[in-house]
Amino acid sequence: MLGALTLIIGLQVLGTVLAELLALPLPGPVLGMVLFLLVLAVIRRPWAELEQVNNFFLANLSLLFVPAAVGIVSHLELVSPILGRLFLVLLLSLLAGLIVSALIFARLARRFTPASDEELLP
Amino acid sequence: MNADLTPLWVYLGRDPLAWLLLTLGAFVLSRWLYERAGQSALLNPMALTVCQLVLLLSITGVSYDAYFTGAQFIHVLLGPAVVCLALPIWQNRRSIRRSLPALIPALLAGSLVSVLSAVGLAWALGLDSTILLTLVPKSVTAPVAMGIAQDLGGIPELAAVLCAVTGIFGAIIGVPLMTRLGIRDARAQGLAMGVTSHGIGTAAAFQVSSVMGVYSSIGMALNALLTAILAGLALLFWL
Repeated sequence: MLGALTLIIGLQVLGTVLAELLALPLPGPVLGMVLFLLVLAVIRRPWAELEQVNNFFLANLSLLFVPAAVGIVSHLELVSPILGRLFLVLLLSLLAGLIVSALIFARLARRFTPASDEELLP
Repeated sequence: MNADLTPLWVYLGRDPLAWLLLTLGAFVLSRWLYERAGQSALLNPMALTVCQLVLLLSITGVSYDAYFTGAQFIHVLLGPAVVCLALPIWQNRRSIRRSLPALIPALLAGSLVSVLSAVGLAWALGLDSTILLTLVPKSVTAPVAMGIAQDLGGIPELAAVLCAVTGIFGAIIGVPLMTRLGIRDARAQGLAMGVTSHGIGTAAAFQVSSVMGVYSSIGMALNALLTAILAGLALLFWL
């Protein structure tokens, strides 16, 4: 448990330090994710505890951004007059993004990398 | 509030653990409601939790700073959670490698369309530049989105909320919409869910099929990386 947690937190700190030292335009945790991929490429198979801790984080991802989102209470005056427009922007932009990326993937996959049976929806 | 309870409330309100407990409690309650309602996307646990806490803070007049003294213990775990996105990518590297000719163009197009359509529409509707910058990472998983919004000069807390709203919309309409468009490839639907609706969309994708969930995780992770890089480049060269 603690070894896995130490590795994960260590990679994030290392990512933050590297991003700062090299003046990279990346948030530290994102660089930490890239470093973790490199670690996995070296160790090949994550040990069971690392996998457990990792899954714990991912399974509870939505809890982790609650404190930040509650920060909206400090911005209620700013947001309430533009709420309708914000929601409209988010909805239309979401539709555009979904349609474009799914259609492009599906079209190209049909030609270059056909879906296996388990990759097809019923 | 009852006069007899006020001193107790004031006392507890000063204890950081009280806010940590309330955050966890509200989340557990929200998740229970969500499960009871058959995992209805409308009752997204994260959104429900935020609503309860915002309501509580508004009613009691407790400042966000006071709340955060307790909630920060959850907040610090965001960074490590982002690092953890590497594992599903690694575990599915073979399928991903095979899908690259479709995956990369779909990721690039989906990511660019998400950012440009949001900023363009918001500009057309007359929203101000702070809001435009805050909208840039709205399809990125919240911990990364907050960092991007901060770097660009947007409002990180608002970015987290916009991400949550986008994710909830995506979880509700994503799969029905793409199925109606005749897309039967779970990889295509999954990637689109992850690229546009990040973690909340990914949770919905895993409910449909594990292949869809894995591709959604990949879409989320790669889009976080790509948007962070694009925003970084934009900062270096234009802003």
